[in-house]
Amino acid sequence: MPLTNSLKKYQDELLAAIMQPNSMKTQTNLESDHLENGHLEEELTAFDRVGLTIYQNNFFATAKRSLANSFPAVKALLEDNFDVAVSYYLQAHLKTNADWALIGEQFADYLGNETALKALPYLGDLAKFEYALFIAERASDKALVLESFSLLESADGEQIKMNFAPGFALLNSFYPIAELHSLLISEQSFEKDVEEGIDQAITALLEQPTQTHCFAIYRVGYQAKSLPLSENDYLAYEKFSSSASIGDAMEALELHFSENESEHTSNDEEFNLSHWLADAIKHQLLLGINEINPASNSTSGASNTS
Amino acid sequence: MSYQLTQDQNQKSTSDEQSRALPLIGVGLRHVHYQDALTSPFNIDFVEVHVENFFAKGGITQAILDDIKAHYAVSLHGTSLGLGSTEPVPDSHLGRFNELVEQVQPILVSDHACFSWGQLNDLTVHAGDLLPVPFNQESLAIMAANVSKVQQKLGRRILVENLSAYITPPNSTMSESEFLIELCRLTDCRLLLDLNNLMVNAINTKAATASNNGTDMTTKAIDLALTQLEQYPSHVIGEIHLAGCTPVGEIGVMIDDHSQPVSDDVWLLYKTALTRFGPVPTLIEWDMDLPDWQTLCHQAQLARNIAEQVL
Repeated sequence: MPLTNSLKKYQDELLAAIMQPNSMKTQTNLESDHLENGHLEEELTAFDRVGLTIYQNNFFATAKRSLANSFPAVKALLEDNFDVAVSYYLQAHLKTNADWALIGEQFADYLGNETALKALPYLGDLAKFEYALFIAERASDKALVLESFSLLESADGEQIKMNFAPGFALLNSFYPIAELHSLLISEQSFEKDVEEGIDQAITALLEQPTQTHCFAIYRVGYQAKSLPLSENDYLAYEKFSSSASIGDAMEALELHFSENESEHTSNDEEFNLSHWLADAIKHQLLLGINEINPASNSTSGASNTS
Repeated sequence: MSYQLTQDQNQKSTSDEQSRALPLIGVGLRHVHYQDALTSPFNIDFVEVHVENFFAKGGITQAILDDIKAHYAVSLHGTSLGLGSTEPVPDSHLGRFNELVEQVQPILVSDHACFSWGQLNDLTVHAGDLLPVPFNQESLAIMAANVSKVQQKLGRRILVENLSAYITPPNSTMSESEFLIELCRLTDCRLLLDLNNLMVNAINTKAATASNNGTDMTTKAIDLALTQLEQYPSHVIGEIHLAGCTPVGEIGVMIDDHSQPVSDDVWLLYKTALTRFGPVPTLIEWDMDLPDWQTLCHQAQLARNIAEQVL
């Protein structure tokens, strides 16, 4: 049976009335549809109107609950304004994924760009940090493959890649967002009598001299973690995770360090690949080495896909 | 054809269940009960989990799912396929749903007779809710095509659950039971008959009528629900859901929020349903204001007691 407009129109307009209830146009169309089709006006104004409110309230309540679950520190920071931010976010960003857990995909960008929240310039970075932790907890499982590290000696650098931990992501910010996050989600921060102390601690953190704070986010076991990184270590993780091969990453790193050699001061930390590798393995950030085009009977590490 | 093979397996499974004197009795398993369910097994035959709670590809939820599977027979219940949507369910979503079915090998797979997907601002959107469809030929054709597509993808029969609805979609030309029975005929799916939803709709129908003109005071909601129940032939019923509900608002609208024990009226419907349909797998749902594990399992025991009385 060919699809007529009326069924699709009914469905899309009901969705609009529920998901973007402040749009008067959608409500008016929904109402006129009911009336055009002989629906009782009394039912629309009583039963159906109550019903529409039930769906709208359920949508907003579920969105709030899901976002609070993904962004506990943002919720603690914004307090009552969290609900307002959620309301505006839902107006600006339609829910395109069936999985409620992923409704926060664009929340950090929204918070970072919302004019009304400019007084909290670190909010967007804090939300990105939190969401990376949340996503790391859901990422595909991976196992440590110790024997694959022998490929570093035996294989061509152009044919191997590093296999990082589940949920691996790199973030940087001008704000100390990891410390801020810890303060906001600590149990104490929800007790009234210590709120003032927490506020002072946040203020002190934000008054630190401006510097770039670099982090790796990843998961060990079932627990998402963040690891502070030096700028050189961050750069190495960035090159090794984004380049086509370890060989390409090494080339990019060598080029970077040679170009910046003249700018180095005595305070700059020397980058040492052996130390970097040992540290990455120690923190369980690096789980193994994968062959890019492994032979059919080779023992490559786990997939690098999170 | 893989669907045909699995359908045979389904039929074998169904006939095994039917040969038992009593129905399989299960409970909906939610995260606050995971620990208790794994360490304090009760006298329940299966648990139902929501597919969407396990969409994460890894991490603790997958480990929990493995544990659950090791302890219980599992029913996978979907709330996101939107089987009546004019907008097709995205392949990526159906693909993940299918991966979980293959991973869990559930005894039952179900979703709802509703729509959830649509188009807004040139984007495919999902309501995150179970929205009612009109009961007419166009809607039936859409739902039948979607159910067939899902069954083909999963390689097995699914159960489709009747809805509790809080608005009345325009342009219905048949009753809910006529619509769902025809859906079963067209697709060879079965129905997950939610008796609480029948009750909620009956109460809300009365509330809607009363709010209009105050008439129809003589017919009780339970009688409306019993009349609905009697429309269904036994061969289309694959599972029964039991739950509680909560009244809201001034006009007495009832919400199917699964936050209460099963009501006396729904227990009465259950007795009638078992008498009519035989030992159909039965599940207690409780999703909000969750009680402790023992209280939830006690509801399952009440269902078992009724089955022992009736069958």
